[in-house]
Amino acid sequence: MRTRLAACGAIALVLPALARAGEAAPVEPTVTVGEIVVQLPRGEAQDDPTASATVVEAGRYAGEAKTVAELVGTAPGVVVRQYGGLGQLATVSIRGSTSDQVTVLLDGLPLNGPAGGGVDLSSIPPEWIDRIEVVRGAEGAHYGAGALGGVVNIVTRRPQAGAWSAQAAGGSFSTGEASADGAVGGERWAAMGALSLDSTEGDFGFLYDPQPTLPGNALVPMVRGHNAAQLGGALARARGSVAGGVADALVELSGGRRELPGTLYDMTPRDFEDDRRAGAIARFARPGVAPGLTLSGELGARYDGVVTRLQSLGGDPLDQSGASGTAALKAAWLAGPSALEATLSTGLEGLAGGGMGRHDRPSFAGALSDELALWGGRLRLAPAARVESVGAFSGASGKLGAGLALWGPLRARASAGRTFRAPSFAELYLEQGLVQPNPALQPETGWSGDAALVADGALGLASVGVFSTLYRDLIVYETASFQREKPFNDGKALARGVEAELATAPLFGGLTAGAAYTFLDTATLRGDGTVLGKALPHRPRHVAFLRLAYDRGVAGVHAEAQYVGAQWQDAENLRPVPAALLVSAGASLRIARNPDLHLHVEVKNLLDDRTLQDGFGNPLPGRMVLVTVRAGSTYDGT
Amino acid sequence: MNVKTKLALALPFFAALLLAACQQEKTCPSGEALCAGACAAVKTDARNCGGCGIACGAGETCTAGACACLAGYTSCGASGTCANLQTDPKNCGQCGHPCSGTDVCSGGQCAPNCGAGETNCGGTCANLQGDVANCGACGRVCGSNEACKAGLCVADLYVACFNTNEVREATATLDAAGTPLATNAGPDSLAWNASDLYVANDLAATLTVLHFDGRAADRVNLLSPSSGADVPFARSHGGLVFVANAADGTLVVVSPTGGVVDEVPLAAQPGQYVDPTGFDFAGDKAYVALHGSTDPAVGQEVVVVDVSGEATCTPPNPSAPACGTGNTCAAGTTCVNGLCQRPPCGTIVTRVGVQSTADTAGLAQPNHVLVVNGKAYVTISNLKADYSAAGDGKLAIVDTGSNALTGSVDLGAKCQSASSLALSGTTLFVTCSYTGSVVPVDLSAATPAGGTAIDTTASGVNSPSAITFCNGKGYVGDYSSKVLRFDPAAGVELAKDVCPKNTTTGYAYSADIACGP
Repeated sequence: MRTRLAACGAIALVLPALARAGEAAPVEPTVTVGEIVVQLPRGEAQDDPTASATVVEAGRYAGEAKTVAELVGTAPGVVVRQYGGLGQLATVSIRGSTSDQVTVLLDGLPLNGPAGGGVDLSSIPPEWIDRIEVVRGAEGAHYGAGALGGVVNIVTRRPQAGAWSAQAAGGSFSTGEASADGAVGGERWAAMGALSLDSTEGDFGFLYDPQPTLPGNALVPMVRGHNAAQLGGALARARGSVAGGVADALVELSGGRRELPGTLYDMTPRDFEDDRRAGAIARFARPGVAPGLTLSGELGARYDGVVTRLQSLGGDPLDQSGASGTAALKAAWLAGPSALEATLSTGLEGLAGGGMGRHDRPSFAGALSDELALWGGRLRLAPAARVESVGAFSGASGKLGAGLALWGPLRARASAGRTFRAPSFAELYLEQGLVQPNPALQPETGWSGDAALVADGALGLASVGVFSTLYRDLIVYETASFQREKPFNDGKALARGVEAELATAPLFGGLTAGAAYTFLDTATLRGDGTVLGKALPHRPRHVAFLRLAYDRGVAGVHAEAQYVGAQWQDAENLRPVPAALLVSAGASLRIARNPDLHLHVEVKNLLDDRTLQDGFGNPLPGRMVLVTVRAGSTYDGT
Repeated sequence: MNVKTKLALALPFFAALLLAACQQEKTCPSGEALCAGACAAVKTDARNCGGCGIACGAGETCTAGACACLAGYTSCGASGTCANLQTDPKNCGQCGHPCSGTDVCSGGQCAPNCGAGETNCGGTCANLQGDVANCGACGRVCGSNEACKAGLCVADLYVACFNTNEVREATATLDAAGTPLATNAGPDSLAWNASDLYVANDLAATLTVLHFDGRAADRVNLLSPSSGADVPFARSHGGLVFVANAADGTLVVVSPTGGVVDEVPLAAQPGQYVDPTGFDFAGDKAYVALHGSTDPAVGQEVVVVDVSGEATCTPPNPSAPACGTGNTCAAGTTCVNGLCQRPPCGTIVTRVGVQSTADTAGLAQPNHVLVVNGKAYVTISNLKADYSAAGDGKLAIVDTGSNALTGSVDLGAKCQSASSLALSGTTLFVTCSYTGSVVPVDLSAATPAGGTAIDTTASGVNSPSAITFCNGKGYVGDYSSKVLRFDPAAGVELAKDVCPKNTTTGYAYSADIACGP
């Protein structure tokens, strides 16, 4: 247990290196099936082991041309908003939150920009990813203010000297992608580099309703035009043992261009968006400074630049650039049953852009967390607290999690937390078109609680739990003077429900099953009689994911179904969005063993349903076939 | 106190805190109070007059937050009971003069039976067509400052209050009347159809159908699939209600009995955001202003729609037989998207571009239409893409015979962002939102031109929008709580707060005004 606690108290990126240096380290459970090694499903987030979490192992979907949004969407408690798919904006909501209330991290580096609006998951190349931790609940105490709904922590692949892989794919709607990575290293260090390119014309067919209010009219076949997207990215990551400690660094660059097709009844054939992003983070950890004490430091920086050309705003380029920097010092101390961690951090974020001027604000935070192992390790308690200031706003976040081993692989888990989100620069200052700013905004707050039963053993992982989150002082855009939209701290909402998931280890010689289900009941708790007690818009009541796969290494097949239940377009619950079922399937075949060479075929929207729309009325692609060739030195499904 | 006791005390405390945090918080517009879970306009609500639970007595109404006798009623005796001396059997002809036995009181005289046209309402002889205490039915009391006309409790004016989701009644002098009439989000346009008032709820994409005979309001859902609903305008024609569905670029036709019966796509190409904002009729033709957005090639026109087929229109049949070879169909049906359907009820006759009426740097962005003597007058916003004024507001003139743009009127420098328009005699009055003015245009002149602007800003009406004439007086709505009244000859007479403010945002918008029946 002491070893386990050490893992939780230190830095995720550093620990694997410690393991190879003979220090204590966690052992990732695997199972060998035929010729491949498969990661056993887990349900613990690295930074908050008692939290309600799902770990999506990217290796399970290798070669399947899945986007980051699709991977995140396999977890319970999550609703992914795709805004048309195929390279278009994709954001995530957890437990009824807005996308602004979900903190998205890339190897611990926050991707939420100061402008707000949530993180565009489509800007992250999926080829880089090792796993995605989806942590549900108010997680500000562990991850910083802003995580009212939860956290998506994207963990990139770890450098392994000598490893390499390359992948090329092509398919429907003139979609293509290519990626390659390689790693070098020695006994005490390793470094990897990765490149990826994704492109789609996005010209898919769909059925258009020219008379959407009229019942019974016929639909008209149309082609979704002006829907192309290109994305390129590069990643470099290195780690090594230096000066008695372990250093780890990551640099990420990405950029792209997408055509913005608009909505069905407001197509925008002359709108574009170009973006350029960069991020870097470096960490150094020194264990053994004193008995049980590890000290570490961290520096991070982020830049996001977006240029949009929107005819509705005149068509001129609108340049918006945001940057942030953070520095943190951490101390992790093992003492008896306790793994205590203290963090001090500071940061600065700034934004400059059309309609907003130039703004910046500093941030300061102090956090203290512990993980206590009691009753011989059967009971784990994880209290955490954080005080934080973001510009003129300040607040506290707290979290108390507990885990109790019940019987065999069965354990109970519960947690409660509270955090806040400071208004974004856009909410405070953006004045553009019909949007007005409100500098008088105050932070939103979220209170969450959950409890679950978890079975986690050699057969896999199964869990079922309940949750409830209260959102207060929500920032909501309301109609103001002259039909302008202006944000106010007007919202109060309750989201509660049930989350269940199942992920099996390979059974019967290679059969795996995965399932996730979310029942989400939301209610508006503040407003006039037209909205009070009504469900929040764009929050489907039922979301389910089911996957069956059979893989022996030489060949494999899989089938998936994603169901998103009916939801509402509006707060009064007058305009329904129908439920959508997306069925996909795929197969893989190993062509060569050395180097490892695989051929994958993926068919998305197998039923070719051309009436599918996202929750905002954007059409989604019909049947899409993608063929992928993937080669690698170490391709083993992990 | 041991730990268990402390825990036992603490748990209910925290549970109560949690429940309190999760309780619903109902918000009311400014000037309304939350009374027993419902918002009450305490200045006019007879059940909550001046405060929650303060109910007015029989024969009383609530005016300015105090109970007072209904119009035509007299305060009798020390108790101050309000009585209609013409019909009250306890105070027949004068206070304290009861009728004997089963006699009723009719015309201030005790009589064995009520007179012609009267109904015996528990001894009171009431004219259900005009008695504010028994309007349409015995015991149905009209609200403050309401009149009973044809058995309906109605007011002089109806004002759509966009930010508080209600329609407010008002007197001709802009004093509050009745109690607020709830709608869905963003009531933006009012249209009478027979004795019902249809309210186009912009943000909800619904129509609220207000009845004035005591029935609860009905609702018609337009089911707009666009994430941003926008239903800015409605008008009645031929017994049907036509609605501009701006979010989806269509003209929706609603039957009072059959719901949505037709929807006419207005865009030249599917997916174009044409933004219909207003229309009027010339015979069986609708002239619809397509405001468009910032693209000069989209919208910026008046589309002429033949609506002669709408009177007998029914929704299409999704189970209709498939078209035959060469898209052939049986007689009386036509091939629509592969199915033999009834012919389209509404068809587009032509499109009349009005972009040429805007200044070089501007977009026409036509707003509203009024047909007068064979000409459709269309307000032209003449704005730049950043919504600043490109020049003077304009009126485009479309001849309804030739369906051609025949000219335009420059409304002058005192009119920027021409919005709505209404006719008084032979003079059109146009509201100008950016300049806070109303500009008259004399249509009887050989060459109509913008006249001397009426300044509305001195009355606090800085962004006038809707305009209508009721009984010779002009009423102007504003992007605020105010409604302004003016005389076509004498100018501004008064302005008062009619729409309350949204207590969260602090904003109010008097979006449309309709005369009482």
